[in-house]
Amino acid sequence: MNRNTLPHSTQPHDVLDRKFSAFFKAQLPQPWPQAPIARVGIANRPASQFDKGRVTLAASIACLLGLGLALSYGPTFPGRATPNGGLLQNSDADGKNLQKRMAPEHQPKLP
Amino acid sequence: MKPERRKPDMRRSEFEALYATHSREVWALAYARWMDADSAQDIMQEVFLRFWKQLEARDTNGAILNPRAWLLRVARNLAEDYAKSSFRRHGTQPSEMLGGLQGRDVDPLAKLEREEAFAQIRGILDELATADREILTLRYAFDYETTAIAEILGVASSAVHMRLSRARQRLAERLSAAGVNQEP
Repeated sequence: MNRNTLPHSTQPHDVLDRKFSAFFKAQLPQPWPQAPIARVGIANRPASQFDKGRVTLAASIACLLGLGLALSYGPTFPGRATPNGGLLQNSDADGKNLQKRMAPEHQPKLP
Repeated sequence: MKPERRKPDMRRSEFEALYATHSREVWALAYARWMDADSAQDIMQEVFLRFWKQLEARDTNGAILNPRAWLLRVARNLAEDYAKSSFRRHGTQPSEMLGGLQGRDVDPLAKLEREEAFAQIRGILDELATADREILTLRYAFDYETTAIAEILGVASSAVHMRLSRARQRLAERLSAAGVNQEP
């Protein structure tokens, strides 16, 4: 059967073709998607690239841990250290009065 | 080092070439099953990911002798299985919304007429068999010639002609009955 003959059609053949064509082309993804190679590419990346990332991650974690430890033990600045200690220098919160405050006469009395 | 990397590179270029050649056919079969462009794209991606795995396992499983036949068979199977997936069961959009989403008409009247024509076409396509919709999708979405469609689907060219003609006839009758005579 010749596709250019349509015995009972009330519309020209090319008009019908255009309608179908417009419908189906409107359904197409725009732009056409790339091959799903990105996800595949990660799986096939050479091991050296993974290693580099791991080394960077390990170094970052080590730096953070070191910094945390250094801060928790208190910073010491050369030339500013005193027998009383760095951060509590010139402060009356040096613990000398702690024993007095812990004495029984300073404790709150329970009913 | 270089000989080790050459093999995956060759596999990759082979994969990309096959994707460029056959992805439209795969999309068309998936689309023809559910008439849903998003689902068709998901299915197409899944088909080609599975195909890549097959390429990777070629050394142990053996080569795929006819990649096109493999891809189309897996596309049909996955499209069928898609009905069982939760996405399909709890679909995100009603079917009437899927007719003309990607139109760029500015004129509301033209857009309305276009959507009306698309709804008519969708109604006709819903009544057709999946095999007919496969032919129509390949013909009108990608402008494939009848002989190419017959080769892809493994049917006679005369059958492709007949189904195309029948679909056109239905469309003409439906559009005339609805008074939709404007071109989209």
